Amino acid sequence: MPESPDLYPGLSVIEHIRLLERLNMVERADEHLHDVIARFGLADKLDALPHELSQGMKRKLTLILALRKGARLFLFDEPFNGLDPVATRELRLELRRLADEGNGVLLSMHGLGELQKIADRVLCLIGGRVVRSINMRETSGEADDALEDIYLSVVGGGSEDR
Amino acid sequence: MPTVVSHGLIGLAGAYLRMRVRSLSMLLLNPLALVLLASLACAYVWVLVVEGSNLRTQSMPGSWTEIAAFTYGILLIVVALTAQRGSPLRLHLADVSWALQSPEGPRVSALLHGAMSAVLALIGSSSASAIALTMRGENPIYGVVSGVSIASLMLLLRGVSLSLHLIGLVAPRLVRMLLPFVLIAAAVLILGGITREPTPGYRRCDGRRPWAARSLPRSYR
Repeated sequence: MPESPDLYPGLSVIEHIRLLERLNMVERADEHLHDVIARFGLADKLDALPHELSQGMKRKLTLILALRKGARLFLFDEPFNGLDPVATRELRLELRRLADEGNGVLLSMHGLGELQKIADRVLCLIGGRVVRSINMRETSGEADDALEDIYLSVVGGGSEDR
Repeated sequence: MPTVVSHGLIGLAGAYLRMRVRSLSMLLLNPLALVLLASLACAYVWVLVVEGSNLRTQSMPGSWTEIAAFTYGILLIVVALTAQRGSPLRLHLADVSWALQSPEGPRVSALLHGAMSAVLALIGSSSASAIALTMRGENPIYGVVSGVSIASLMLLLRGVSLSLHLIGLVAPRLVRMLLPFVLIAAAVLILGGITREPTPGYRRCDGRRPWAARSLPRSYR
């Protein structure tokens, strides 16, 4: 999922879903679809066009499309950028739920605070190379900025007087 | 046609139709757009009916053919150079994310954006020309001639655009980097060939070819 979701400007939420179903020959029952739409809080936005949706809703719609397509691996580029705190929390919970259901979820992001709340494992990249792999279970229970400290120790910058 | 392709094609064509209807309905709510649309329609009818009648009494100068070929060449180069970067000839981002990623997506997209748009151009242009010919008291069947030419142009433009998308997907980085330069060099050679003086000993061809003249109604010859 790119930072700004790729949606057809003239198609409503439900039309996007129906198009994806046709393109991918999806034959799953509508009850399942309604459950997913309700879970993502888009039940009252089925006829809304993309420009009428908030950034968080657009990302949720993209997630629904990927789920409807039967995807098992999800790649996100900066998923929390431009979201208000409520949308951030909702999306975080959905991503966590996806991972807990056995799907692969890979987030590419700079916001370490959000990452610390959601990730199982963090890979630090510098110049495209993995320089550190962090198991987040080991840092659980530590300070809120533990990941930030680890990251800064890896990249070697940002000393801060406390 | 496999079921998956026809299924996807119906879905994507329906989606584009809905988007077009929506954008047109929004356009028709805009007074300025309505005035512009009416002016353009009047200008179009004037060109087809009045100027078309005037042309009937003149012989088409040979330089017209050169101008048309020159414009056509420029058009193709512009299409080739803009097909991959921020232009209407580029595939829609949503098409790339969703349509192309579906099982028969590339075929469905090629059929919709290539073949079906050409068919629509054929129908639209043939009908408009047939109406104009009828208004001038001529046989409307010759409207198909302009329909075929517009559809061919549309097919060629779409073909170039989609081929470049394909090249962008499969060609190595070096080929993609060199491609614009190759296109520009080819364009310079082609345009140079069109505009250069005839080789000594050869006569410049008349723009009006006998085979082309035979395909026109008798009143145009």
